[in-house]
Amino acid sequence: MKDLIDKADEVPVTLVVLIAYVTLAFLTGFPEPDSEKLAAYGWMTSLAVSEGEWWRLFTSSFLHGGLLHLGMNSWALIQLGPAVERSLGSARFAALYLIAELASSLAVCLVYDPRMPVVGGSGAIFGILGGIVALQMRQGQHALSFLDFEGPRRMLVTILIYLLLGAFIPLVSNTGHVGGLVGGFLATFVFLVPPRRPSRLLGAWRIAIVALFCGLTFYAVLPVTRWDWLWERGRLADRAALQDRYADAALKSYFGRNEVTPIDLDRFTRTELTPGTEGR
Amino acid sequence: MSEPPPAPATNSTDAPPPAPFSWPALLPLAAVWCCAVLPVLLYLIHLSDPVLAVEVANTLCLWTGRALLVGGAVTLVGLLAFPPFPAWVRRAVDRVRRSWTVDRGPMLQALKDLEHFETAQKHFEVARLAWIRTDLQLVGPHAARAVELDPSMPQAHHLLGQFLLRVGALPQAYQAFSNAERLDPGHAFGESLLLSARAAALAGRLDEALCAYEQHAASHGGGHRSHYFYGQALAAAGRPAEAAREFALAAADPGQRLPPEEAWYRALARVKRWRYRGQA
Repeated sequence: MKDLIDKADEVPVTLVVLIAYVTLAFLTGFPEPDSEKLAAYGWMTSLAVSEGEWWRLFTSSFLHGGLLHLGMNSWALIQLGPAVERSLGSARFAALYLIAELASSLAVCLVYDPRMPVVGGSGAIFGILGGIVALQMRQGQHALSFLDFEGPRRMLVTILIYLLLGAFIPLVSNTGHVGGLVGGFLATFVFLVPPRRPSRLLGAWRIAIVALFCGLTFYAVLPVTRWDWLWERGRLADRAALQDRYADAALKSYFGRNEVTPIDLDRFTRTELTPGTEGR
Repeated sequence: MSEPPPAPATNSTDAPPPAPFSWPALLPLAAVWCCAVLPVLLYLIHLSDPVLAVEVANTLCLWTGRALLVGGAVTLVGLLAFPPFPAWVRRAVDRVRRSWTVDRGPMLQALKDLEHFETAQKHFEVARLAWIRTDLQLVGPHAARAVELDPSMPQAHHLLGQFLLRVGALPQAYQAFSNAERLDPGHAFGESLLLSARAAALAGRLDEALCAYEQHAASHGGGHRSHYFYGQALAAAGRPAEAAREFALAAADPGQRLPPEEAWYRALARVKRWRYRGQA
């Protein structure tokens, strides 16, 4: 097993990811990708994940929505990837990338409009940034001693600026960025880099983080409180009473309130069920 | 800033002892478990009543939002009352003010002169002005070049050490400060000696650090900052009673308005004094 990990460490994961980015960019249409091809190659919508296409949680990070998107993410990967890969080793870097990507996709599933497709490796790249923060936290005498130094402080400011930019630029899923950042940080801090002082709670944290990922993935696949999923279940239900229960639940979920009025029902029907209208 | 309670005396050959267990550390762990279990819980509720699952989720969202709002407000108030925060703001404002109000003219002139002839003094001048302006990209190369051209220049060694300490290159910083101290004992009113001790302490060389701190205290007395640094090193070396004494000295009321840098370390020392209150 150790030999296998050592061999994997020789694989330049950054380069493999970059090649995947570029290859998929050409396969999905370059420089302007075709939406049908993007869907076929694995863009992610929460709706598709809840319909059983869970693999989209991972595939979406290798697809990009145009030349600028591809260029920016590739540049960021080239800037950050090699240093972190050298620091962690290729096998652990690959794990960091995939866990950050999963966390980013799960965050999107949890918060984003279920029908909105998402592509791009930026969630995973934010995960690499989270990993760098975790690496620096693990190197000091205590978790926050890295703030004594200029480099880490500037990097934190940079992350903050990127997040603020993401919040203001349209069509950027900042939810995915935050999810990736948190996922990458947790993966590195809890699993990939051991603490300098042994911690009694580390084992408990590891189990808790695994449980959290399992729980969130469970919710992404079975979103029992998401309106579109409930509406679909209601539509498929064979009994009228059950159909009504699901419709009621879907309405309450859609408006995020436990009391819904006939006006709400009317609004829901007009915005979501009338063909040719935009979503929320 | 959190810091683990004092560890026993360091010995590089022994594995460090595990971090002590504390009940508050279980709170975030419990929160993660709640988040992990919630999707499964909602699914189980959904099996019996889909509407109830949505109502539970809506209520949880509502209360979580309120809790975050109240938590944010409490944190804000707490920060204002927490001594290091106002001191940190004052120090940051002072640094920004200094970096923005220092005239760039002399630095640009010195840089222009360097195009025609280079001297250690000119490089040092550029590095010094860039240091005041927090332009770290200029400080490092010019300070290093000044040292290279004239290794007998203690101020260049000192400035290079300051730069290296700031970017976290601790062994090199220690070496640079030691060189400055060797060339000019008591250089910069004992600052080189103090910062060499600081670099050694941060690098985990506590014996050398403690020795240098004692030497500094004997020859130059102590300020809020030096007492705080010494206290930190003593705490890391497992001498909590002496550390508490140093923190108390660092936190003592000076009876006058301190410069921002000293005020910052006094504020940190006040927190430490509180944490080590039972040790003195």
